[in-house]
Amino acid sequence: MKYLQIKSTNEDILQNCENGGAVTSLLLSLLDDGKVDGVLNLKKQDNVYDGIPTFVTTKEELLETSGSLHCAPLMTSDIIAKFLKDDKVAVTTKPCDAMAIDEIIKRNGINRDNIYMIGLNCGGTVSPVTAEKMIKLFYDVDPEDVVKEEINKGQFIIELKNGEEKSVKIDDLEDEGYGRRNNCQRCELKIPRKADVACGNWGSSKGYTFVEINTPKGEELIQNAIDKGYIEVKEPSEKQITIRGKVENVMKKMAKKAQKKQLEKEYPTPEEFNEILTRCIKCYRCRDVCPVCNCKVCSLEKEYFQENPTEKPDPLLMHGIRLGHMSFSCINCGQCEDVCPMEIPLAKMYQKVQLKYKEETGYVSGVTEDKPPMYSGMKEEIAE
Amino acid sequence: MNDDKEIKIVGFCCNWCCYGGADNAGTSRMAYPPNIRIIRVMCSGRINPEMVFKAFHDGADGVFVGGCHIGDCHYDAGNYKWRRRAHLIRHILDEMNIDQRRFKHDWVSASEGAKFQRLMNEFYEELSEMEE
Amino acid sequence: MLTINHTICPECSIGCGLNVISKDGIIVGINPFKNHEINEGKNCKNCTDYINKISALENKTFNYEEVISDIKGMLNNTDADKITILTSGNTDNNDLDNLIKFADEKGFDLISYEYEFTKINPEIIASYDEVEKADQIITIGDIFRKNSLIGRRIIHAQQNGAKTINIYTETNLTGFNSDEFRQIDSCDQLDEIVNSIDLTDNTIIIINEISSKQNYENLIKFVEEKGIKVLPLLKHPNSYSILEKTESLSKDELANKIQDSELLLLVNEDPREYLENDIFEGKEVVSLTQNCTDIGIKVPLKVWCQKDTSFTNSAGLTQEYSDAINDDDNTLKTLSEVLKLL
Repeated sequence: MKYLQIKSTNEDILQNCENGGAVTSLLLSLLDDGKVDGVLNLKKQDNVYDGIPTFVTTKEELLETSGSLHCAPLMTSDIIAKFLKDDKVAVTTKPCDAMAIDEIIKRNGINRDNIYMIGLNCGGTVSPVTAEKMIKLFYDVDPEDVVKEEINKGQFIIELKNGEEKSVKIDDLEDEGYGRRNNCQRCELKIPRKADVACGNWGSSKGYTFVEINTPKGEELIQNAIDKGYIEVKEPSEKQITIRGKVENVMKKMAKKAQKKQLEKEYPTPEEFNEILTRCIKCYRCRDVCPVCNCKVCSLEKEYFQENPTEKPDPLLMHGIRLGHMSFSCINCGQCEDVCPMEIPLAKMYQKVQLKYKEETGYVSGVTEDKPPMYSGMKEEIAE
Repeated sequence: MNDDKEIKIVGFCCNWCCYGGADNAGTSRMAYPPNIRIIRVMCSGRINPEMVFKAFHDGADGVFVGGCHIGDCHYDAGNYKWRRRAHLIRHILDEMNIDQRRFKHDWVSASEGAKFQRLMNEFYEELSEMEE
Repeated sequence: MLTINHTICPECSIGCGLNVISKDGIIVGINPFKNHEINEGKNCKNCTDYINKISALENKTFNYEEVISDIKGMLNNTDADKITILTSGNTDNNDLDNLIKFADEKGFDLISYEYEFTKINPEIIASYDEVEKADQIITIGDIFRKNSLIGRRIIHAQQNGAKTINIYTETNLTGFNSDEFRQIDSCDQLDEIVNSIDLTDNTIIIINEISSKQNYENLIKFVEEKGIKVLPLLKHPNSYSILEKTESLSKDELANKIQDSELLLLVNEDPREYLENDIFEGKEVVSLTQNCTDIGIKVPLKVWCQKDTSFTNSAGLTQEYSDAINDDDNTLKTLSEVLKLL
């Protein structure tokens, strides 16, 4: 394992980037060298709350995707698996994206050799609608006036058109039901170590991106970018590495706490949850966006699982089946909950089962090296 | 299934062991509750969670899955695969508000008619108590 | 080339946003549009089903010349008062305006069928935000299943303590999730039943199905008398504008009108969805549609997300979206372009 601090040599990148511009520079080096057909990244649309996954193939387009968007919690893994399977793609991956890609690779949906994963450390994302509400409420600012947002040192910081900065502690926001998405609060993976490199600002010197190199592919990529003059690097001090580790650990502890709170203390009783599940309209959106769900033919649509629409729906034939298929691999990305038109707290239910499975088998979805034990041919000894 | 008050148990039995066990109980005239409807499958490794859920959905009070003893699977490791699924099914039943006790699985060899009889009697009794 | 862009859902009249994914100009799927004020990235089954249907269309070119001259001939050979244009809420605002102009100039009747809904005073229409703040909601029809994103607003209202009553001819998902469910035999007794409910000032009636214009008008009269609000959930994305700008007939009136006509121009509409299949026997029919309707002379049009579109939703909000596909190879024409040639 190797740590580096990276700064871009490209002025355009440095202007728009979050820290040292490492991510965009590395992507650019891959694109210029022809090592990838294109880059899948989030692009800002109408405002800072609106990002859209964009597949770019030119330098100009790539530069437009520079900078992070904490209020656009979109996933890219399913787009690769469904539409870019045969392309060579470089993709920026939050920890959840990296976990998602890992789970799809385990299901033979993506070829790891075809993709470069540029990881982004992540303390969590905010849903855009929540962000706009809380910016009105806590910052007393018109959301349209915000030109940049950032999460740093436990604060959610916004920068206004007139250059002014305002910040509020994330804890305070979350106590009131705002702040990061619920599943992000519960997420234990803050640094995507399955990505080729993991970039972030924790522990970094000002103007530099702190990068952890995870794979030989990542090492080669960085060496190449240095050789061709895309980036300049310096070694981080021991102290900086320690600081980074501390930030990560604090966040992990907070996530554990949030899990206890959301999945135990505040979790609906089975009766209540069953009541909530009665709302399910079986639109299958949760399945469509689930990065783990990767089958060609879906059990849910089989004729013998269909119900009479005038009768009370049975959660067993929808979420029971889904849980049976993917809960052991749930990566808690929260997409299912985000897209559910009936406001069912699906991610909580799925993660709860995954955590039980993890306790029993040690399988951490999206992180553990091997495939889920569910798929293995081993003959393990376990207590009945 | 029709809607009478009688307890209904759906039993998935593997062809090579548990089904033989049930057969053995039958030919040896060992009485067990007639409430169980046996579905023969080639291997317990063939059972997936949705089959169990479908049985519950269609009105089963209890679901039993019987396979070969660990180590005796006709297909080498099918019952290992089933065992992992069974553990997951229990967690899912918790979420679906179904009592875990309504779902049982065990290993019965073709010669263990007596064991099959005992399991069915116990399961029937447990389910009857839960109805009360 | 993979393209993902914002557009609007073309299925019902709620006006949800969605990101449409296209590869080499062909629609392949959808992606959540999380910053859309109406649906916040959530979409329902209507939407996904429609996109799946549309994505089967791979037709990018069509030889208009021959067909256009045929249609021209038919238009010239038929008396103007025997020619009827039937359109629906699937026609967007720009195309609709051009269609109205076209019909006026040529002296053709332009009519529509909006499932017995009629134009009502916009002041009594509740906004989506008002639904969340209501303290009593009366739903008529299965809102949860057919207009799920309004169902979601109802859930929010319930979480805020609203009382909900569902009225429908059969048990349904909205009924299961309401405080009270009242089964009716037909919508004829609707105003009586609603009248028997203790109304609060902040009651909103949400309706997505009605059996006749008469019943709808009775209900609206009741709403106006009581000073409460109503949210009619119309069938198509631009049904609101259709009700505003065209003459909307009842089913019987429509059937008669078709009988009286010799040549019918169906614009984004297929009446066989609600009328007898043999209604067009002995008639000349031209259908201009964005999804291959197999009736009469077929003229394919560009789909809604391949051009600049604007729809007006059930609450009267007009939303504009530009071409989300950006495919230069696609040489299909829009309705406005075809009308210019006729």
